[in-house]
Amino acid sequence: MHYQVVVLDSEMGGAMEISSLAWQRALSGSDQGHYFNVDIYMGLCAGDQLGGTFEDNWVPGTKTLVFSADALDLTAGPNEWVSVALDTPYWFNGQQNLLIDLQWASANPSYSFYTWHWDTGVVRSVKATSLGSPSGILSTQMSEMTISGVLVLDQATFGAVKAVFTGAGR
Amino acid sequence: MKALILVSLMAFTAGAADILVGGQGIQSSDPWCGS
Repeated sequence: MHYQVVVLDSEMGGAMEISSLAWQRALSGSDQGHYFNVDIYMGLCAGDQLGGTFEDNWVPGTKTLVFSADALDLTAGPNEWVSVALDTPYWFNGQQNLLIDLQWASANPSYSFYTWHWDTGVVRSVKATSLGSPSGILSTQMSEMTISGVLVLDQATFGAVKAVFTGAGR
Repeated sequence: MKALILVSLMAFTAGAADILVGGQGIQSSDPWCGS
Protein backbone atom coordinates (compact mmCIF):
# COMPACT_ATOMS: atom_id res chain seq x y z
CA MET A 1 0.00 0.00 0.00
CA HIS A 2 1.17 3.49 -0.79
CA TYR A 3 -0.84 6.36 0.69
CA GLN A 4 -0.07 10.05 0.52
CA VAL A 5 -1.92 12.99 2.08
CA VAL A 6 -1.32 16.72 2.14
CA VAL A 7 -1.86 18.78 5.30
CA LEU A 8 -2.25 22.50 4.67
CA ASP A 9 0.06 24.97 6.37
CA SER A 10 -3.04 26.77 7.66
CA GLU A 11 -4.04 23.59 9.48
CA MET A 12 -0.59 23.21 11.04
CA GLY A 13 -0.56 26.71 12.51
CA GLY A 14 3.17 27.34 12.18
CA ALA A 15 6.56 25.70 12.34
CA MET A 16 6.70 22.49 14.31
CA GLU A 17 9.08 19.71 15.21
CA ILE A 18 6.85 16.71 14.58
CA SER A 19 7.49 13.70 16.78
CA SER A 20 4.45 11.47 16.28
CA LEU A 21 1.37 10.77 14.20
CA ALA A 22 -1.90 9.31 15.44
CA TRP A 23 -5.01 7.88 13.83
CA GLN A 24 -8.45 7.29 15.34
CA ARG A 25 -9.91 3.85 14.94
CA ALA A 26 -13.41 3.69 13.51
CA LEU A 27 -16.24 1.62 14.95
CA SER A 28 -16.09 -1.46 12.78
CA GLY A 29 -13.34 -3.93 11.96
CA SER A 30 -10.63 -5.35 14.18
CA ASP A 31 -9.10 -3.89 17.31
CA GLN A 32 -5.64 -4.50 15.87
CA GLY A 33 -3.71 -4.40 12.64
CA HIS A 34 -0.30 -5.79 11.74
CA TYR A 35 1.77 -4.26 8.95
CA PHE A 36 5.14 -5.22 7.54
CA ASN A 37 8.02 -3.25 6.04
CA VAL A 38 6.48 0.07 6.94
CA ASP A 39 8.06 3.36 5.90
CA ILE A 40 6.77 6.86 6.61
CA TYR A 41 8.15 9.89 4.80
CA MET A 42 7.49 13.57 5.39
CA GLY A 43 8.30 16.59 3.31
CA LEU A 44 6.82 19.65 1.70
CA CYS A 45 4.17 20.03 -0.97
CA ALA A 46 3.77 23.16 -3.07
CA GLY A 47 0.09 22.68 -3.90
CA ASP A 48 -3.08 22.49 -1.84
CA GLN A 49 -4.16 19.48 -3.89
CA LEU A 50 -2.31 16.36 -4.97
CA GLY A 51 -1.57 14.92 -8.36
CA GLY A 52 -1.71 11.24 -9.21
CA THR A 53 2.05 10.64 -9.43
CA PHE A 54 3.50 10.24 -5.96
CA GLU A 55 6.98 11.62 -6.61
CA ASP A 56 5.66 14.73 -8.33
CA ASN A 57 3.90 15.88 -5.17
CA TRP A 58 7.14 16.52 -3.26
CA VAL A 59 8.93 19.82 -3.26
CA PRO A 60 12.26 18.56 -4.65
CA GLY A 61 14.78 17.66 -1.97
CA THR A 62 12.35 17.64 0.94
CA LYS A 63 11.31 13.96 1.04
CA THR A 64 12.60 12.62 4.38
CA LEU A 65 12.32 9.15 5.91
CA VAL A 66 11.00 9.60 9.45
CA PHE A 67 9.92 6.07 10.37
CA SER A 68 10.90 2.62 9.24
CA ALA A 69 10.04 -0.75 10.75
CA ASP A 70 10.01 -4.36 9.71
CA ALA A 71 6.73 -4.76 11.56
CA LEU A 72 4.22 -2.33 13.01
CA ASP A 73 1.40 -3.41 15.31
CA LEU A 74 -1.53 -1.05 15.83
CA THR A 75 -4.04 -1.65 18.61
CA ALA A 76 -7.06 0.44 19.61
CA GLY A 77 -10.66 0.07 20.67
CA PRO A 78 -13.52 1.78 18.80
CA ASN A 79 -12.89 5.55 18.57
CA GLU A 80 -9.58 5.22 20.40
CA TRP A 81 -6.42 6.80 19.04
CA VAL A 82 -3.27 4.91 18.14
CA SER A 83 0.00 6.77 17.87
CA VAL A 84 3.20 6.06 15.98
CA ALA A 85 6.34 7.74 17.32
CA LEU A 86 8.73 8.80 14.59
CA ASP A 87 12.27 7.45 14.58
CA THR A 88 13.48 10.89 13.59
CA PRO A 89 11.50 14.05 14.43
CA TYR A 90 10.65 16.06 11.33
CA TRP A 91 11.19 19.81 11.25
CA PHE A 92 8.21 21.37 9.46
CA ASN A 93 9.00 24.95 8.47
CA GLY A 94 5.41 26.24 8.53
CA GLN A 95 5.85 27.94 5.17
CA GLN A 96 4.44 25.32 2.82
CA ASN A 97 2.07 22.38 3.02
CA LEU A 98 3.11 19.16 4.74
CA LEU A 99 3.17 15.96 2.70
CA ILE A 100 2.86 12.67 4.58
CA ASP A 101 3.64 9.46 2.72
CA LEU A 102 2.95 6.01 4.18
CA GLN A 103 4.09 2.78 2.60
CA TRP A 104 3.83 -0.81 3.67
CA ALA A 105 4.60 -3.97 1.77
CA SER A 106 1.99 -6.24 3.32
CA ALA A 107 -0.43 -6.66 6.18
CA ASN A 108 -1.82 -9.58 8.13
CA PRO A 109 -5.09 -10.28 6.28
CA SER A 110 -6.74 -11.69 9.39
CA TYR A 111 -7.22 -8.18 10.76
CA SER A 112 -8.92 -5.09 9.37
CA PHE A 113 -7.97 -1.99 11.30
CA TYR A 114 -10.27 0.76 10.06
CA THR A 115 -9.76 4.43 10.86
CA TRP A 116 -11.84 7.57 10.52
CA HIS A 117 -11.60 9.64 7.38
CA TRP A 118 -13.20 12.91 6.36
CA ASP A 119 -14.12 14.55 3.09
CA THR A 120 -11.95 17.60 2.40
CA GLY A 121 -13.86 18.63 -0.74
CA VAL A 122 -10.70 18.69 -2.85
CA VAL A 123 -8.11 16.08 -3.85
CA ARG A 124 -5.87 15.62 -0.83
CA SER A 125 -4.96 11.93 -0.90
CA VAL A 126 -3.51 9.42 -3.32
CA LYS A 127 -3.60 5.67 -2.83
CA ALA A 128 -2.11 2.72 -4.64
CA THR A 129 -2.60 -0.84 -3.42
CA SER A 130 0.59 -1.87 -5.24
CA LEU A 131 3.60 -0.45 -3.44
CA GLY A 132 5.66 -0.19 -6.61
CA SER A 133 3.10 1.77 -8.58
CA PRO A 134 4.34 5.28 -9.45
CA SER A 135 0.82 6.68 -9.40
CA GLY A 136 -2.39 6.10 -7.52
CA ILE A 137 -6.07 6.85 -7.21
CA LEU A 138 -6.98 10.41 -6.26
CA SER A 139 -9.52 11.07 -3.52
CA THR A 140 -11.09 13.99 -1.72
CA GLN A 141 -11.17 11.87 1.43
CA MET A 142 -8.20 11.60 3.75
CA SER A 143 -7.33 10.22 7.15
CA GLU A 144 -8.25 12.06 10.29
CA MET A 145 -4.93 12.50 12.10
CA THR A 146 -3.36 14.10 15.09
CA ILE A 147 0.10 15.50 14.47
CA SER A 148 2.07 15.96 17.67
CA GLY A 149 5.30 17.72 18.49
CA VAL A 150 6.69 21.06 19.55
CA LEU A 151 5.01 24.05 17.95
CA VAL A 152 7.26 27.09 17.57
CA LEU A 153 5.89 30.62 17.35
CA ASP A 154 7.41 32.56 14.50
CA GLN A 155 10.09 35.16 15.14
CA ALA A 156 7.82 38.05 14.20
CA THR A 157 5.41 37.10 16.95
CA PHE A 158 8.09 36.99 19.61
CA GLY A 159 9.75 40.08 18.24
CA ALA A 160 6.51 41.98 18.39
CA VAL A 161 5.89 40.89 21.96
CA LYS A 162 9.41 41.89 22.99
CA ALA A 163 9.09 45.27 21.28
CA VAL A 164 5.84 45.98 23.06
CA PHE A 165 7.32 45.01 26.40
CA THR A 166 10.51 47.02 25.88
CA GLY A 167 8.48 50.06 24.94
CA ALA A 168 6.15 49.69 27.91
CA GLY A 169 9.07 49.44 30.35
CA ARG A 170 10.49 52.84 29.50
CA MET B 1 12.05 41.95 36.97
CA LYS B 2 12.11 42.98 33.31
CA ALA B 3 14.69 40.28 32.55
CA LEU B 4 12.63 37.68 34.38
CA ILE B 5 9.55 38.46 32.32
CA LEU B 6 11.54 38.38 29.09
CA VAL B 7 12.92 34.96 29.97
CA SER B 8 9.39 33.81 30.71
CA LEU B 9 8.19 35.06 27.32
CA MET B 10 11.03 33.21 25.61
CA ALA B 11 10.01 30.02 27.39
CA PHE B 12 6.55 30.32 25.86
CA THR B 13 7.78 30.61 22.27
CA ALA B 14 7.76 26.83 21.98
CA GLY B 15 5.49 24.23 23.45
CA ALA B 16 4.03 20.80 22.97
CA ALA B 17 1.08 20.74 20.62
CA ASP B 18 -1.38 18.29 19.16
CA ILE B 19 -2.73 19.36 15.79
CA LEU B 20 -6.02 17.68 14.88
CA VAL B 21 -6.47 17.41 11.13
CA GLY B 22 -9.99 16.61 10.00
CA GLY B 23 -12.54 14.63 11.91
CA GLN B 24 -14.82 11.65 11.92
CA GLY B 25 -17.35 11.09 9.19
CA ILE B 26 -16.26 8.25 6.97
CA GLN B 27 -14.95 4.86 8.00
CA SER B 28 -12.04 3.80 5.83
CA SER B 29 -12.91 1.03 3.43
CA ASP B 30 -9.36 -0.29 3.52
CA PRO B 31 -7.40 -1.04 6.67
CA TRP B 32 -5.48 1.75 8.40
CA CYS B 33 -5.04 4.67 6.06
CA GLY B 34 -6.44 3.76 2.66
CA SER B 35 -9.69 5.49 1.81
